[in-house]
Amino acid sequence: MDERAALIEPLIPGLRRYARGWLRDAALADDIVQDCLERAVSSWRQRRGDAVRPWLYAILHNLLVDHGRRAPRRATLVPIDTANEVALAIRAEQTDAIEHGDLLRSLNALPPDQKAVILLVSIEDLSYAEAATVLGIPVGTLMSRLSRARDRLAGLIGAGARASLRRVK
Amino acid sequence: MTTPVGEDDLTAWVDDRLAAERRSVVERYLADHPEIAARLRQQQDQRSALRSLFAPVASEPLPATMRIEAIAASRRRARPAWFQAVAAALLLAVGFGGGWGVRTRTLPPQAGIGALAREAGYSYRVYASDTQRPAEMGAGEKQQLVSWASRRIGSKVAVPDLAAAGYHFAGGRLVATPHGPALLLLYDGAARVRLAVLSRPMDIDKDADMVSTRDGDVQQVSWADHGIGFSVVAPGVTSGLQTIAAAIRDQAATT
Repeated sequence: MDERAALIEPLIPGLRRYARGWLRDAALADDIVQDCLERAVSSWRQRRGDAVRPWLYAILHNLLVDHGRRAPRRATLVPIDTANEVALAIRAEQTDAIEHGDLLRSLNALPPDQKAVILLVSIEDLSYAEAATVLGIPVGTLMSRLSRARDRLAGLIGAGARASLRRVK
Repeated sequence: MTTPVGEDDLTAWVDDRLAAERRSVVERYLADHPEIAARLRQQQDQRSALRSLFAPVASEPLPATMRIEAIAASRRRARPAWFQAVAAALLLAVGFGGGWGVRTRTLPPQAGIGALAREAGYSYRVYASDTQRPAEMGAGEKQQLVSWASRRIGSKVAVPDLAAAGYHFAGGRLVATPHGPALLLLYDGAARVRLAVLSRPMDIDKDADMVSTRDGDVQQVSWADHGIGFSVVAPGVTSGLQTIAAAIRDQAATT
């Protein structure tokens, strides 16, 4: 295995997970990861001294943002059956207080900037500095965005939970 | 004296990224501020719920297409055919010791030198065989042709002198190519042999070594220097085309 493969391949599961956080359609998410990897291979030499991990996440992030800009037009073409399929493998059990469907809905309801910081830090375990590099923002901005995103997510989850309680009554 | 607790400390506490010393400072603060503590614990719960929700994705087996070796291999295959043809021609040229041992018969012409040669062939068939009006501007209007063509092509052109090879300038015109206007120059030689030189700016192959091609009943020698491509066309039976091409190239380099 060449050096390039040794450095990139261990990161692919995380890249797929990040893309899946943006797109419910697993096949589409993987297509974008594939695109990211092809770009990474073709521009490997232009990477120069950059650390591989934030560099790869930045390529993927930009592709996902680009896709999101085009998506509204494309969304009308998705058959309803497909759209309703939750492609993400959701485990049946629930954590203590938070129902998974509610969590996903709330995550998707976040503005893209806020969703990105939560996915990069909370799930992908990027350092604050790495996440800031991926998003092209200062670390301080990243920290406050993360804090706001978490508050907002909590608010959304709470709202969802209250709504389902009302339905139960 | 300790630095006051900030939002960044609280965020890092949720992620469990504080150094032990700082963490105890933050935890003392949280003990004094139960509302903030409750908010952060909720964020921690949400963080771990998200992690467990997405964890299965990372343990899915990798699709074979995502192997870096597979991607590198398909990139090698995807290189355009003309690239390989030119690369092969150049390699052969090096092997033959100077560029003239080579006759590349097939150059799939979508872009670059291959396309230039194909365009030169088309133009040659249309205009060189025309005995009535092969050129828009004749030999007497050389200066006007040069300034008009230079303006239209956006690059200074010149009319090579091929008298030493036995060809005299008969006239020229602009022709349309998929890559914009090109200058077609026509020359007449002995025994009514007509020669054409097509030149235009190149987007790809801005500098390319000479390549000989044969397209039905015509042959071409094509190259590019400093972003301008040249293709010399003559009937297939004409000999010495490479010498003529070399003369044109030399003259273009010195003007």
